Amino acid sequence: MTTTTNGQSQQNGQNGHHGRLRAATRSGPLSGKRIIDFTWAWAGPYGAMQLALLGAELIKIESITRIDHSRQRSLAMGSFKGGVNQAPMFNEVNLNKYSIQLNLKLEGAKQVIRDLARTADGAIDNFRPGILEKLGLGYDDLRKENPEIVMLSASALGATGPERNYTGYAPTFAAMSGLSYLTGEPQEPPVMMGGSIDLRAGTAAAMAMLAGFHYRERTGRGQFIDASSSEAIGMHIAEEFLHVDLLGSDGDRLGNGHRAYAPHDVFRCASMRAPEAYTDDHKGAKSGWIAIACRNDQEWNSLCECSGLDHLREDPRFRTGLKRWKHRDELKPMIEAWTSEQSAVETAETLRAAGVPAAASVWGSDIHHSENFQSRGGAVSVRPPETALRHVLPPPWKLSATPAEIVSPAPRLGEDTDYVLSRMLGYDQDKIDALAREGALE
Amino acid sequence: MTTDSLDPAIARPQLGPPLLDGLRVVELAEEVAGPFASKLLADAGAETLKIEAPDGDMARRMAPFAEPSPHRETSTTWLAYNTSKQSVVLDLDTTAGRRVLQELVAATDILVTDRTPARLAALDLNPDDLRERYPRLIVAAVTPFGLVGSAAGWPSTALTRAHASGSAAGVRRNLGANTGAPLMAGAKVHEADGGTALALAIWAALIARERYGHGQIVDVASTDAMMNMDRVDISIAHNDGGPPPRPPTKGGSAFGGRLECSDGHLIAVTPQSHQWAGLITAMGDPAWAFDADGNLIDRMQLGEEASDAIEEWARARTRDEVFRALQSNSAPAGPVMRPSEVMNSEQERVRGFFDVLDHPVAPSSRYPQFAAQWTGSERAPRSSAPLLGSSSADVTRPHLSPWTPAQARRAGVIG
Repeated sequence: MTTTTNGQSQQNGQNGHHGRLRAATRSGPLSGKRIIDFTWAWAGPYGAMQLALLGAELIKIESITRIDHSRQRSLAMGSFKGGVNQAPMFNEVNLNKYSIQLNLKLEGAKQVIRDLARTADGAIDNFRPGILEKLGLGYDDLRKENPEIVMLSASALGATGPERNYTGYAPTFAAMSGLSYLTGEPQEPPVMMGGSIDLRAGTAAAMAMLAGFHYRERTGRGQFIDASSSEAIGMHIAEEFLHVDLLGSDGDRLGNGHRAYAPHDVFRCASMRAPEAYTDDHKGAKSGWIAIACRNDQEWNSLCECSGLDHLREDPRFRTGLKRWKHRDELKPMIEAWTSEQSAVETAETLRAAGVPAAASVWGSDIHHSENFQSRGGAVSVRPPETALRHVLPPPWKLSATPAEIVSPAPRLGEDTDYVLSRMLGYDQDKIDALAREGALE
Repeated sequence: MTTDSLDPAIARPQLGPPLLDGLRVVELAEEVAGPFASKLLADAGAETLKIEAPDGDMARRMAPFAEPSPHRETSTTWLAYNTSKQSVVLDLDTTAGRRVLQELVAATDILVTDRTPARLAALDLNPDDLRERYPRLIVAAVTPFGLVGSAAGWPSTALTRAHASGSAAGVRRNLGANTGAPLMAGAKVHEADGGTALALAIWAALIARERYGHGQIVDVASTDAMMNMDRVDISIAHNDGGPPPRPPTKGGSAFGGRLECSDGHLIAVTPQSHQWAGLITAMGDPAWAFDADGNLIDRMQLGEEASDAIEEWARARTRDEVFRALQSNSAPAGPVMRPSEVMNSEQERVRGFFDVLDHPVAPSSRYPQFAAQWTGSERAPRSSAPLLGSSSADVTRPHLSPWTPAQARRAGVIG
């Protein structure tokens, strides 16, 4: 871990955080760009967060009357114990953002959005298609305020088509994209996919938004972008659609296997790391798995040498790549008999040094401790205002001239309401008080 | 968005040119991640020259192929990740080949590569040097472990990268139980993650170039890209010591999960209480869901019996029956669709997600578009993947390089 960056809010206390995110907007590709962020859950917020990491000023529109449920509960785990400002999931996909509380059902709040739209470069939402329009805040409403605004709406299945009103979450996007069907072991049922699906949809949405901003830089034109989360996953499996048309059938579930290579699998190990690694404060996994792939005779021979399984080189069942592939089910227990007495991390190092593609299969703290992650700079630490210090992943791209900065944890609910109204929009206190009396700031 | 807003009949300013009209990309990359990134740019209208060795991109040799037999032009992976590009064959083991590549790079806006730092240095394409020579150039690299870092030279494959990144462990978590091997997702999703991360960052660098006038180096480790897709759960595992124990359920979710219907599987996800109530309504308000006062029982208090009852209800119905029943009661659900079912769905037909591209060797086929529709700019015309070396003679086009056809022929650059 090399960087420690915190928003200024915890130093300045409850109310003294004007310009809390100033540093985020200094040197990024989107510095000086303002984006209204209507998103909630995971996919939309992650997409919007990419833009915030690139320097844009993201103003997340929230309301106590309609709390982003990732502040409260998860699909798999149920409700969180802590309050709405302590949700670990919310923090991960809302870094570098401002939060303003607005009850969009009330006219005063709608006027705030219209005022923001006049000063904004973009807007992004992941409501069900039609919801923002019903509120009078759809693209056609916002472009009246600002014809050059770039607006993206991401929905489960897109804004057109007979199924546009269906609701969905990551597991349903994955199911309706074709990916779930293709995921799993060959003889097992398809696998329900989780949060990574949302973040893939968010990545596609962020890319589409950036393309819209780039276009506006070049041509001066804003536009509306209709994004489908199911299609975002479909876009990642293009070759499977070609499989249908060119081979006349759907592809198969392969698990960890490969169509041509063997061994190509994960194997159970005695432990994740060598025994001496397990100190009292060790946070990684005890049990371990190692992934090993051999693409040719050279890698196979090296594996046999490293593992002491030299006799397998002479075994006629495994003499060529094709034979190893045909007999892969016999090969697997033989390799596993060896790995099950080894530690995953050190064995992977030994195999890689011998030229064999291998990796410990890691998760959680073992990712944070991995050499590949550490040597690229490791985690960034942030301290959400009401929780302990957290280590978060930096973005997956490094831009040499306009680097991303994580300058702040996710905002508390409504943390920046006053700042947005008074400093960004220039409302005076009387006007803000009137909005509060109306209930527009709830 | 109402459908009205998307109706072309509603007055809109006329469409502008394609997104990346007039921009040029040179690609020196193989297999999935790098080619996927530049395919996204090419499909958006960038003129994209793919540099291939004489035996072509490795993806040309990746099974499966259009039937009946393997052919270097008909690998499904090759075709999927190389639409709208032109292929230029250069032998980079020759001085002439490397010189041509230098000239093409000098004339381009973006270089997309998946070569390791050592290989780039050997080709005189060190990113820092290129940036000095061509201040507006965007050098965009997607490599397994990044340009920077001590793992840059590790041997790896898609399998070992998916496991080294945590991405396979992330898939494994969705199975519900806490035993069993970590598992790769289907198709080539993990590798594609490197491609989308790179393309996103290239678009960011293009904005910076428009605004500030300079290019830069984009360094994506495909393993970092995969890792980020599970950043939420990885964070909870690391910072909070793992998720709280799950309630006893099957199929991966407390509130539905994977259900087996009479004709396949369906996923139901009902985290919000009104969605759970919708599921109960769809089932015809079974008695076990209510307490003595007729109120819905807190789901977390329901055990295996509730799961069993939901499963039994689903098993007696088709995916479509369960899907419509749940969706019409605001309970999110989706059938587990085969790729062929996605292609033939009315939803994707209406949206035009697939378009048919012809190819000189492979049969015509349906190719997915980008997952978003930009309603203010024209779609760039797309073409299927290029035949190996079909645009080699283009290196003599005046705007791309100083070679005349005669010079290029004499130097062995073109046949």
